[in-house]
Amino acid sequence: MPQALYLPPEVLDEILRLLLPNDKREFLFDLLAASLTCHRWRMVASRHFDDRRLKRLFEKPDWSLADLHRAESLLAESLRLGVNDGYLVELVRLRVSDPWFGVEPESEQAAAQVAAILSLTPNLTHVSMDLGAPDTHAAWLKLQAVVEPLCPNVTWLYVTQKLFGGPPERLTELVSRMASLKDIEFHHLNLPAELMTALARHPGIKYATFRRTGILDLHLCVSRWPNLRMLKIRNPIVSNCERLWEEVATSCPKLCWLIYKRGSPRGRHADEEADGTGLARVITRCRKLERLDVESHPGVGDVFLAAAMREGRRLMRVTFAGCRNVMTAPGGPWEAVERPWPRLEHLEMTGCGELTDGFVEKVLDRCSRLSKLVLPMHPEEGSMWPGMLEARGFVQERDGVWQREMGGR
Amino acid sequence: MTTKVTLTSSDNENFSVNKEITKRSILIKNMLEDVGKSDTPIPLPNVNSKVLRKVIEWCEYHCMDPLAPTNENTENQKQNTDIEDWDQKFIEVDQETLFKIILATNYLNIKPLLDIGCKTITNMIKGKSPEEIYKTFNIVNNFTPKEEAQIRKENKWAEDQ
Repeated sequence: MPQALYLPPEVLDEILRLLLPNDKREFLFDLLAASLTCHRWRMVASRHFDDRRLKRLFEKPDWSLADLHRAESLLAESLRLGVNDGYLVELVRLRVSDPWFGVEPESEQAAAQVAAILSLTPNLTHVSMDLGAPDTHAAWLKLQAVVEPLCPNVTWLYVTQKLFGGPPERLTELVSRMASLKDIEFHHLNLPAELMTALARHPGIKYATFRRTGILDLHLCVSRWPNLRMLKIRNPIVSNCERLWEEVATSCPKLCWLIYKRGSPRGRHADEEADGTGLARVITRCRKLERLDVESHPGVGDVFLAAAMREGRRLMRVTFAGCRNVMTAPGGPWEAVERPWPRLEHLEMTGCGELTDGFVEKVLDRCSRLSKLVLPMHPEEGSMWPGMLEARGFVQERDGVWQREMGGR
Repeated sequence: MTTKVTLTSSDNENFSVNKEITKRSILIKNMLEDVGKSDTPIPLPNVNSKVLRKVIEWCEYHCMDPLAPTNENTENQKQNTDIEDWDQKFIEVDQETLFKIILATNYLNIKPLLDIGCKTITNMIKGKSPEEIYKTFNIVNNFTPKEEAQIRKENKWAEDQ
């Protein structure tokens, strides 16, 4: 008699719950297998299907060849039974770094297995590729072949390398085939003009992040991205930002977030001498800008601060970090701005020039929605602004971070 | 003061057991509190003598263990399917007996023994294919695409998460 079928639901539920791996990144091999056993087990197991673990493949590295084989068998069985769990998979993390899923000697087999798994996941739209060290050319070619069939559906693409360098062969071809791209993220890559030109063919791009990348030619694609909502640049290796800001100001009217963290100088920085007028133009022209973060930009100073205060009518969050030329001395251009930042909720000014009581007072007087301030941890001697903040209901949560409850908004 | 309690199995076999030991079962503990005197035999119509003997053996061995917390919130607990050596030996029984122990401990509300039974079944599932699982437990795979479409509809939340 199949007694397993007659277990009370709460007991079966506990048995299947124990099949959940402790590591949330792990694929639900055992639970999926149990769920494909019979009707009743499926219903109970479904309660424990965690969207993240079924929607993301290879979230945890080091899949053995046996794991790959098992995943393929389970997804194929699921398809055969008409359950189609492979349809739930949305994101895949592919790595060619060091061992290719920990089975480097059999990488051909592993790549074929990965390709077979991905053929069972027709709703896959998010692709993350870790290209590893520059000497993984052969592995990259296998990865590229695996990704190629997915290209038309890909909306999110993340590409990273372990060391900064040029893109691998045929990445441009892959990118140019990803016509549905909306969100891109590149790390540790030098992005040459041909790759930028390929990206420029995707006007649907809304979110773009570049970290430790060479973005000398980024202006080429930004000029073709009218739907861009967010642009994040952190620690660019090679950049020509003044030209980039000009294009953003001209071509990206829907931009909501601009985050530029220049980091410590590396490579050739054309914006070393720039005076911030390009960035100021972004604030003037991109009327939907809600968040502006600028870090370590020597060209951003008093004039830029005043322009941001005057023109940033929709800005809700502003950060100036390590911008040593941002000064708020009495008589500076900021004083002439009558109604700064009407929607501002969060202001951070750390590592900048002098922060004066007059500036803080003006911001507190005019920015009625302000609820969080991040200011220098050690005010200059004689500064009155800490007392002003306390008088307006701000509490120092931790060093330099001041917050107040706004309530009811 | 009475220190013994009589338990009567479904096949009418009586077991005289130390009262403290029977308190491992929340069901019996509550019954004793309700009845007020413990010289009345407690009928256990859902447990036969073979299984009840096993359950009593487990309760006697674990009589000094602290009582399990009644907190049922297991959501945040880490999954751990390790079983102590003695319990591992204890639960090495044929599959029919194993399921009967699980059903009995669920009825008697002996959470630690129920956990051991559940972990044993879980360990029997781990690493197996669906086919191996239904062969192991003699389950008939009753999936049909039509039925499955209905399940999927009923459990649509799982996809919508």
